[in-house]
Amino acid sequence: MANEQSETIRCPMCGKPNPAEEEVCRHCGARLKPLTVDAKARPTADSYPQAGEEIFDLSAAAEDPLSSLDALLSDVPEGEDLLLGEIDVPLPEEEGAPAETDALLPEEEAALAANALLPEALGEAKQTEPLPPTEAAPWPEGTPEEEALAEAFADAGAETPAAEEAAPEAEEALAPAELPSWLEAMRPVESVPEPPEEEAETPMETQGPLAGLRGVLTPLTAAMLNPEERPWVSGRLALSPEHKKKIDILEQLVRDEFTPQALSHPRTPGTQRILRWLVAAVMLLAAFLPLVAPAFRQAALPGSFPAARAAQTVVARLPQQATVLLAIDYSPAFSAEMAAAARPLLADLQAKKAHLVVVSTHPLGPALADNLLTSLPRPYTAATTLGYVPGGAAGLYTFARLPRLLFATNAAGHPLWTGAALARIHTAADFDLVVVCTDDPEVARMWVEQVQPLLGQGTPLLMVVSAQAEPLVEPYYETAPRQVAGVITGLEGGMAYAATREMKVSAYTWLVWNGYSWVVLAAVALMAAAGLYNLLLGWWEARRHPRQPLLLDDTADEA
Amino acid sequence: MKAPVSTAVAIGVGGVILLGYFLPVPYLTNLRLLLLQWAVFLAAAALFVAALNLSQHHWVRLTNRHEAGTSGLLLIALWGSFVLGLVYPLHSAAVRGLFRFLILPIGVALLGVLTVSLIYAALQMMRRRPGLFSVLFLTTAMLILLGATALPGIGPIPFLSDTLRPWLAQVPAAAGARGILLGVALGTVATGLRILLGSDRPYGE
Amino acid sequence: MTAWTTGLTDIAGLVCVALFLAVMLLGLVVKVPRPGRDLRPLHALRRLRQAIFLTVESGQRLHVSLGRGLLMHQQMAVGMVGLRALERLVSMTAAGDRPTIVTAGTGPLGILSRSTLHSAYETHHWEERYRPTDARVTGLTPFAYAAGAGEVIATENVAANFFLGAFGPEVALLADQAAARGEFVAAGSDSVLAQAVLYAVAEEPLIGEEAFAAAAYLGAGGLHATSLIAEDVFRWLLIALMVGGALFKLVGGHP
Repeated sequence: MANEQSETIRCPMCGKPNPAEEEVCRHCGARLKPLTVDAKARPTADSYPQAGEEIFDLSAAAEDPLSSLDALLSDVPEGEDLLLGEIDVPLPEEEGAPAETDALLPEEEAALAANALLPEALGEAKQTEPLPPTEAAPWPEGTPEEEALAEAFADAGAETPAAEEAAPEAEEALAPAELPSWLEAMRPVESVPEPPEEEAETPMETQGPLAGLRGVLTPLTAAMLNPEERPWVSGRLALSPEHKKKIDILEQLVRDEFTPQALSHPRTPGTQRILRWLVAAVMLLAAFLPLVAPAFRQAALPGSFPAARAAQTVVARLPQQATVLLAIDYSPAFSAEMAAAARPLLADLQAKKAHLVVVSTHPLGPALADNLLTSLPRPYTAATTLGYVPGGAAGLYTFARLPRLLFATNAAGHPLWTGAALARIHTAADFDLVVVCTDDPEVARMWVEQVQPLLGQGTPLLMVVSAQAEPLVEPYYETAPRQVAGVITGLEGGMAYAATREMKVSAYTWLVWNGYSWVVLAAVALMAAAGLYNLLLGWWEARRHPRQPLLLDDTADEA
Repeated sequence: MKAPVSTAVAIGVGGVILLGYFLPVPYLTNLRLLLLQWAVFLAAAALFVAALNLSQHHWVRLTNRHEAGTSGLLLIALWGSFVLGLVYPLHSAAVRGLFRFLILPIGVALLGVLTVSLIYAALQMMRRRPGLFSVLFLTTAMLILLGATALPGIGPIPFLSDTLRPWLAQVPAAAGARGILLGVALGTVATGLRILLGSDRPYGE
Repeated sequence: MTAWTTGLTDIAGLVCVALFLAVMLLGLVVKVPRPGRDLRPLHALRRLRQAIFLTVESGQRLHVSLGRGLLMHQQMAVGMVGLRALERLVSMTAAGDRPTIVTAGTGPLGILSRSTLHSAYETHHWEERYRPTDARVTGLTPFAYAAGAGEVIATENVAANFFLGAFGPEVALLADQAAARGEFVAAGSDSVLAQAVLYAVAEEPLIGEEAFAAAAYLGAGGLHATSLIAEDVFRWLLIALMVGGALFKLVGGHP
C-alpha cells in the first residue's frame, strides 16, 4: 500500500490518484507535471533576430498599433495568420485620434483585445517561436543568477543621478500623479539610485500610472530576445520590513492563484427545480385527466387537413396487390406519434393487399418497422424488410437507383428479389407508391431531393410526418407540380385521414387525442401566465434597477 | 498541407462526384455511382467504429473505477444487444422485447423530458430575453398550438384552426425557414468547395 | 421538363459553383476579411470568446458538441465547420488547466473530432495534453447522444458549451441542462428545427448561416473568411433573382 502511494500522484484539480509517470490526470485531464516546451521545439540562438535584422518595432506599434500589427500579420505565413488574424489591438480613445483609425477598429473588439491576446498569444508562442520555459527562482533571496542580477542592478544604480537633472522639466510639463497610498508605500523610492546623464535620453512614459517617469520600461531590443545575451538590468533592493511584508502578501496572492481549489458548479436553484417538477406535474395531470374523468372527454375532431385528404385519394387510386416502398425513418422517441399518424394509412394499404417493402436510413428503423407493423389491429404480414441504408443522402441515392445492389439477400442469406411483388422491382421508380414516415424535416428533404426526381409520374411520394416537421414538409405538397402527393401530419393528421375514409377511430386514439388537447391547453395557459408575469416583473425590475454592465455582457465592452 | 496524398485523393473523388452530378456523361455518372457505393459501405463501418468509440470511453471509466458500475452496465447493454441482434432474428421475441421494453420507453421518456424542458424554457424566455421578438415568438407558438387542437365543447377554434394557423405555418414560418435554408445552402456550398480545395482539413492524417 | 432545359439547368448550376469558387479565391488575392474589422459583429460568437477566456481563467472546461452529421450527407458540412472551430477553440483553451472536451453523435464525427484534437495539440507542441477519451461518441441515436453529452455537461467541470453541428430538437436537452447548471451556451445548427428550439433554450443561438461563419469568426482565416464574402455576394444575387422573378410574374410574364 505504501509502495502504491509512493508511485502515485494526486491530481491538483480533482484530487484523484494517478500513476507517477502520467503527464495528465486520467480522470479530468488536468496537467500533473509542469508544462514545458519540447526541447526539439526550443529555439536556438540562430533563430533569434541578429543585429541589423528587422524585428517588430514596439515603439512604432505604440504609436500606430494597427499599422504595426498589419505589418506583422503580412509577414506571417498563411497557416500562422489564422491566429494572428484574430488579435485585436485596443485603440486608446484619445482626442484627435484619426477618424479613419476609429473606423477601422470596431469598438466591440477593443475591450476583448486584452483577453484575446493572452491565451492566444500563449498558445501561438509555442507554435511560431517557442520560448524557453520560465524557471521560477526564489525572490529576493540570492541564487547565483540573482547575484549576477544584483550586480548588474548595482552597476545601473551608479549611473542614476543624472536623471534627477531631467526631472524638473518633466515636473513642469506634468501634474504630479496621485497614487493610491498602498501603491505609494510600495514604491522603493529611497532605494532607487539617481539616473545617469545618459539615461536622460531614455524614453519617457506619456500615459498611464507611470506617466512622467523616464526609463521605467526598457525598450525591447533584438539582443534582449535572446536569453543567452540578455543584458540584465537590475539593482540591489534595500528592503524594509514593511516592504518585505508586502512582498510576502504578493507572493501569497500569486501562490493562491496556482493552488488548485475545488471548483463547485452553481447548483440548480431550488425554485428552478420545483418549477420544472410543477410543469411536469401539470402536463401529466392534463394528459391523464380524460382517462380518469369522462367529463373531460370531448367528441370534437381536429380541423380539416387537405394534404391528408390528398394522401387518401392517392391510396384509393392504388391497384390491388401493389408493391409499396415504406421508409421508416423516425427515431424511437417519436414512435407513438408516428404510429398514430401511420396506422390509418397502413390499414388502408392492408385492405388493398399491398405488399410492403420496408427500408430505413435510421439504424433502428427495421426494429421500429417491425414494432409498427405488428402493433396494428391485424399484424401486417405481407411485408419484406430490406434493412438499414447507411450513408445518408448518398446511400439513399444509390438505393433509389440500384436497390438490388445494396440488398442482394436478406439477413438469413436468402434471395430477396423473388416473388410476384418484388421480381419486377429494379429501381425505386418500379414501386407503385413510396411512403416515407419521418419526424425529421431534413430526412424528408433528403427523400424529396434524392429519390423523388427518380420516381417519375407513375410513383407518387407520400409523407407521414411528425407535427414538428409539418411547416417544412407541407411546402413540397403546396408546390406546382407537387413533389409530395400528400402529407399526413401527426396524431391529428392520422385522425383526419381516418375521418376521410369514415374509418372507426379506436377508443384508445380518442383518449390520446383528448389527453393531447388538454396538454396543449395547459401548456398554452402556463406560457401565457408565465410570459405575462415575467414581462411585468422585468419591466418592474428595469424601473427599479437600471441595467448595469455585466461581466459577460457586451454592454460592458461598449462601456 | 497536412497529408498531401490523402488530400489529393479526397479532392479527386470530390471533383468526380461534383462533376458527375452536373454533367450527364455516362462514364462519369457510373464512376460517381461506384464511389458512392464505396462511401455507403464506409459509412456502415463508421457506425461500428462509433460503437467501439463509445465502448472505449466506458472501458476507460471502468478500469479507472470512475463510476464503474454505470459504465459496466452500459457496456453489457451495448454488446449484449449487439450479440442478441446477431444471434436472434429481428422478429424474435428476444429482440422485440429488448426494443419494446427498453429502447422505446427510454426514447419516449427523453422526449417527455424535452417537452418539459421546452415549456420551462418558454416560461423563462421573457425573463431571460425580454423584448419584442420574444413576445412574437411566444405568441406565435401559442397560436400554432391552439390551432392544432380542438377545445372541449367547441372543437376547432374558428378562424384560428382553419385560417390563421395554416397561414402562420405556411407563410411567415415557411418563408423564414426557406430563407434560413438558403443561407445554410450557401454555407454548405462554401464548405464543400473548401473541402474540395483541400483547405478545410482541421483533422490530421 | 425537356432534356434540353435539364441540361441547361445542370450547366447553370455548375457555372454558379464555379462563380462561387472564383469569388472565394478572389477574396484571397484582394483582401482576406478579418473578424472585428471587416466582418459584422456576431454577438453570440463574441460572447463565446469572452466565456472561453473566463473558462480558462477559472480552470474549468470548454465542451464542444458536434452533433450527428452523417458522413455522406450535407449535414456533414456544418460538422466540418464545427471541426474547424474546434481546432481554433483548442488553441484558445490549450493553456487552461483542463482540456477541451468534445462529444459527437456519429462515428465519422467521433473519429474526425479525435483526430482534430490530436492535430491541434500537436500544432502547439502540447501533445501530452491530448487524451483520446476527450473526444467521445456519446450515443448512436439522437436522444442517446443527448443523454450521453448531458452526462459530460454534468460531470466534467464544464463552464462553457459550444454546440455546432447537425442537431435535432434533442439539442434542447443539452442546452437546458447546461443552462440549469449556470453554464454558458452558444449553439448553432443547420437544422431549422434545432434553431427553433435553441432560440428558446440557448443563451446565445446562432441563426441560419451564422453557424457556418463560426470558424471564420474564431480566426480560421483564409478561405473561411473569403467564403463569407462569396456567401454575401450570392445572397444578394438570390434576393435580386427572387424579387425580379416576383415582379416578372406580377406583370404577367411566364418563365
